[in-house]
Amino acid sequence: MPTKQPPEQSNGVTFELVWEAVTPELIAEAREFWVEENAIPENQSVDDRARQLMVIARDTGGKLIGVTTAVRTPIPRLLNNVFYYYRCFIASHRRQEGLMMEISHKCREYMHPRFLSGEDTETKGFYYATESELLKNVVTQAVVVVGGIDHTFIGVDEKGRYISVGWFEGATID
Amino acid sequence: MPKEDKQTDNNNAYSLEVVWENVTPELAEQAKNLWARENALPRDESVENRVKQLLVVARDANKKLIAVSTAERKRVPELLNNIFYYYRVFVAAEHRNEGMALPISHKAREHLHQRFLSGQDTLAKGFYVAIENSILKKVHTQAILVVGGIDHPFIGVDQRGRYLRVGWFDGAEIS
Repeated sequence: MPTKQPPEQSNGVTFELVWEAVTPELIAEAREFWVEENAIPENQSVDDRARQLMVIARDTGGKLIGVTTAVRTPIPRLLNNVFYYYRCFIASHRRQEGLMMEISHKCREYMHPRFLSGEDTETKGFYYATESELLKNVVTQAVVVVGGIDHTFIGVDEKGRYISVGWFEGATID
Repeated sequence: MPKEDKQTDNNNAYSLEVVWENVTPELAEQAKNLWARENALPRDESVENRVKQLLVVARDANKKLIAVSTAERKRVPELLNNIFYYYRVFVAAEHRNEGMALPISHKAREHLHQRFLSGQDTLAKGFYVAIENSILKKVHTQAILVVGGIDHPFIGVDQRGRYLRVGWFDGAEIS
């Protein structure tokens, strides 16, 4: 069980680390959120995805407005090193506020110290695939800094998604 | 062809000089002799082409050429056809335990990175390295190697088993 972090507030949004501490109530809440947003995860049960919640964001009324999920995944092209395969979903009516970057920063800021402290060194960093054509056109930097970690564009996968990887500081490829 | 400032870093053992796009006929001959002496003539490519790619050279105290690095602008299909400096370094056998490859590589990055940042040459977006040597693969286990101030993260393995690293220049875009 990871170290408990108190929720953080920023500009009326509360961010909370729920990684490996997802309650049945939160699973139900996330399910309802995805249904409302017509964003049911494909090829996976909603409950399974909900168990992968990492950081969530709530509005001033306590309602979910953004969720991130991660699953520890060995990446064959990176010598099967294990990464947090990271996904982020923001409520449609809150997408113009920079919330996606903010919640992504939080995830790195929570998880990177665990690697650095030795609490969790199995996972070497974050790995994400950008599918949105809009994001592909907007985020053109080869290296994007998220939560203090450089995320480098390393190529395009078979689905045409842009792949980026952010190695934790001091990670090795062995 | 732009004129390059000659830079020399001296220590007791050798000196380094940037010769990018400023290769004289004399240097070209010396490089060919070095490769021939070391039985290291470039494969799959004419020697004449390779000497044009000389970037940083190292000489001993007697001014004898003992190491060379070369760079070639190449499109990398896996990286959306962005152009990179495909970088190579060769050190004479008798000098391979002197840690010379890294200072040469630092200097090569510093020189071309500065050209990118100043806007003098923005065509190539960084350095692309394919590590074939099995010893180097075992030694350099850091996921991110910093060379000449540029992060070179490990990005995969090619079909020949070479470890690939890419060092994007500051501010480079993938468009």
